[in-house]
Amino acid sequence: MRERQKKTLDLLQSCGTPLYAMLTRLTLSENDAGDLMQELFIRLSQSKGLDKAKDPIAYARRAAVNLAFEWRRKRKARFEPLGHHCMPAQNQPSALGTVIQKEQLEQVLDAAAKLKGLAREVIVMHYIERQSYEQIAGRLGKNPAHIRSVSAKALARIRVLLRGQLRRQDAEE
Amino acid sequence: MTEIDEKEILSRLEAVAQLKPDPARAAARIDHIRRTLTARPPTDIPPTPSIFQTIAGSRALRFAAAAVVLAGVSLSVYLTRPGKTTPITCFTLLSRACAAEQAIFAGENIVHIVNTITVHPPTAQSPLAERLDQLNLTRGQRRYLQTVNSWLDFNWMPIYSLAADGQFRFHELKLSPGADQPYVITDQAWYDAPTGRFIRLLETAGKIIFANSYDGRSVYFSEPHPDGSVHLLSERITSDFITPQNPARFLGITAGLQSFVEQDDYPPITEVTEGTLEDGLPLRIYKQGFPDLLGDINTYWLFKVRADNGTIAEMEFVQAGAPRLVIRRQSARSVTSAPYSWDLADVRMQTADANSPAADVTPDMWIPDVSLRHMVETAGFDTYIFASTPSWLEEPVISDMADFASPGRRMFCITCQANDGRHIVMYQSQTFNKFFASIIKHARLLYTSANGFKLYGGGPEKWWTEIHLRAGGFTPAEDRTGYALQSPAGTFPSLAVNGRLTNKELETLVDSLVPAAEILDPSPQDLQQRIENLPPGKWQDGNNDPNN
Repeated sequence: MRERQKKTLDLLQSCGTPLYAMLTRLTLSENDAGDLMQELFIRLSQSKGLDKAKDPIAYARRAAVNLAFEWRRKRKARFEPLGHHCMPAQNQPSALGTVIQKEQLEQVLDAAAKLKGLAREVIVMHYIERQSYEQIAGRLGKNPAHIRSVSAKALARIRVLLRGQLRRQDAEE
Repeated sequence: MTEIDEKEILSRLEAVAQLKPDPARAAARIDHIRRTLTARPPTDIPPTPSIFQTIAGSRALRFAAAAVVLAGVSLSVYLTRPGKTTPITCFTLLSRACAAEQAIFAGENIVHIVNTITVHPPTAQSPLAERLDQLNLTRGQRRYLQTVNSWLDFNWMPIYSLAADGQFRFHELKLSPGADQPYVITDQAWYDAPTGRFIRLLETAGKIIFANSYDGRSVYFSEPHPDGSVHLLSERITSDFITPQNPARFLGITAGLQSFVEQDDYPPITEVTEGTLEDGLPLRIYKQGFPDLLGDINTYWLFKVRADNGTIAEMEFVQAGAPRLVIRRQSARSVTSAPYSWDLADVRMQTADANSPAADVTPDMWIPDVSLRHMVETAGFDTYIFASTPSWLEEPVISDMADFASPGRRMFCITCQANDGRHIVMYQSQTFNKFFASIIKHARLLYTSANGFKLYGGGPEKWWTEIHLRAGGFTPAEDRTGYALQSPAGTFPSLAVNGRLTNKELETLVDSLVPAAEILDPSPQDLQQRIENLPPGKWQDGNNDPNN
């Protein structure tokens, strides 16, 4: 178990920063990303799966993605502006613009949270982590063409989910 | 707007991909997690939690529960419930509040923190008593349920002090449950961030009941004297001393309490509401309830978090609809100097003829990794240790903790980590000695060793071994086993094994037990020789297959 603790600390050292960045992107909140990051590493330090994982970094990354989407599915709807430390790189001229953009990003991430395993994995890896289809295929042991097809279907599914979500909002208004 | 095209989705995903966290904040958070992981004892995934995990959410509390748990061996039927997965949101809540509190301790000036702990008398009639009346319980069953449930009373709190080697000491702040009027303990701290110097004083009824400070060269700490007075001692810091990296965790409002919730199996936050303090300060209030042994939630914490800065303004412990304990942040402000010198030379400690305060501090609730000599000299009864451990076990580690069920006595937990997961935990305490003496007649004698030990089995071992193994820092295995030992001196160590041992393995372990006092002087070779010269022990009929 002490060995696992050491392994977890090594993981934190080697990939803590990119995992934190990814959690920030998936939660759109540094506070929540910090909490999830802590939860992630405590879970990893207690996980027998980590002992057996051939690629501990990939294991931790996958666990982080699952944790973030689990958080996204479970949390209640809320309104919370972006923290000033976590602004999009592009210019946002007004506070209202920031809020509107945050809401839009929440919508697309909430829709992604409803996707099934591989589709969600591909969306995160390709569009958020910016990996090529070939890289994703290599990591997941799949054919690049298959990954491309999964990605296209996932995007279409997000579109359907967003459309339904927007219709509900329109009806409420 | 009910239509959204693929271009818009890609644009939003692109915006998400471009988000960049603040590097300094990320580094601070990662560093905090690293320290949290380093401070946590390594454990496996907790299996399905039982009611005892709820009772014994912290390691310290588990030790407390372990002290009384065997008193109800025959009642395990009442003590299980369907398992559920519990998130660690309370831990997250307090960690987050503690992180927010760090800002208070980061200034250039001395920070002065004042908290008050208001202890209210218990309500006259608890709902538990009514519920127990409805059940057809024997007197013993009822007494047991009441005793174990009393661990939810929170009539004590853990507090830390800093030792000369930079490590924390764990103490018990005893809150007198018998008082008929509310009373207040004032908890003050002064902290000088640039130098790490600090003072912490707990005071009630005009008397200082706890003191701890660091002046840059020595640490100063209070120790209770047998005559009831509190003395101030000092110790020069050791070469490896470092000041606490996170003063909020040490001096903040959640200090001590945070250690209660650092296990994943602590009951979750069940309700979040908005509210205000009496002065109108907006709050978010988190409720965290403890199911009692009958599954009802009559006991809960309310954590009141300031909306403006995320720190905890108040923590209220409620029982049977009435507050029992209110811990409130009165002030946190920057000052130019502390009213006392850092070495506490001008602090007047409580004298022997002073009126007894309503609360006092029992030092060293839990002392990890103590020496064999410490156990021998502290126990007050004959203690035993494995003179040699087989190759599959690591060397024994001894922890010393307060024996809550036998006030004033200490309990010793000997853990041996196993390479194959079959960890061993042996408890020795006055409480167990008394308890096993009364129940051993119902157990089954399995083996008698030539060194005078008797090994007993039977009973609801799954139940108590779970408590012992968890308290020892291990995740209980499904096939865990437990035994009671009767020593030649008439004491009753308990032996929990996180798996199954063959008769041969059990025999080796039991045969290797020697009085701890004897192992202090002879050489290990002498002891090994002595064990090897022992005649074979005797297994009872039907248990004599060495590979069984």
